[in-house]
Amino acid sequence: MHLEGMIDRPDATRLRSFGRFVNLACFFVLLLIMGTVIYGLVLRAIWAHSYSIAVVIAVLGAIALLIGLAQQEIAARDKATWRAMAEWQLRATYGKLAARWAEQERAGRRAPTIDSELYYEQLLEVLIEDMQRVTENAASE
Amino acid sequence: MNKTSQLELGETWPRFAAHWIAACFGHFLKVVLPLIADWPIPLLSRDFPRWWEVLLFAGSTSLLAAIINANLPVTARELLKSAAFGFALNATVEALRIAG
Repeated sequence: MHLEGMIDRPDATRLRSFGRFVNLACFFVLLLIMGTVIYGLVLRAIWAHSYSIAVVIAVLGAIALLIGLAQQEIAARDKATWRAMAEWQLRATYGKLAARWAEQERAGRRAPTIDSELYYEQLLEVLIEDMQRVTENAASE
Repeated sequence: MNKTSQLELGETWPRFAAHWIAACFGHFLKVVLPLIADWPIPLLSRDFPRWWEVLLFAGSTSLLAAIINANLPVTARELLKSAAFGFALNATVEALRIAG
């Protein structure tokens, strides 16, 4: 049973934490770029006062960009939560299937292979059983 | 699960707008860096372009960067690439002496 191959998700490796560090560094560089641009426009605004409009536009642009970044971050976190829940469910289902097939093999019948119809039939059966149990529990509470 | 999902990022208008703004910032960085590096000499020169000229120029060249990067997610990494793209486009135009 190649559980990890079916629920395809990269492990938390050292490279992954390095990626997080790079993300953070990129964020600071982005802040530095925006800060430098606004600072340069302010310097110019001292000489040519019409440039203060450009300063205002740059500040508005920076705010829009930061809000967009924050929204994406929140959306990504929500998606990760849903994904984790679905993976949790699938893992539990595969665990139950493995137990069921082990029992079948002990009884002398062969477990279905991944390319057989029976495999998907039983997979859906266990998933639906789980869902029904969850909704029944929620209704009785 | 899908192996090709990393190739199917998808273009959306918010992504387009975010990368456009980032590319504009990159473009402006090329414009204002001499100001900061040579402070206070450029303050005495009058031949600095008008702000709306720079903004229109930045907006139009950054459209190319935004069109190409419109399928990238809005993260600090991807925005940094857009900013670098805007910077590069300005440098290219300047090197070719088309404008500015």
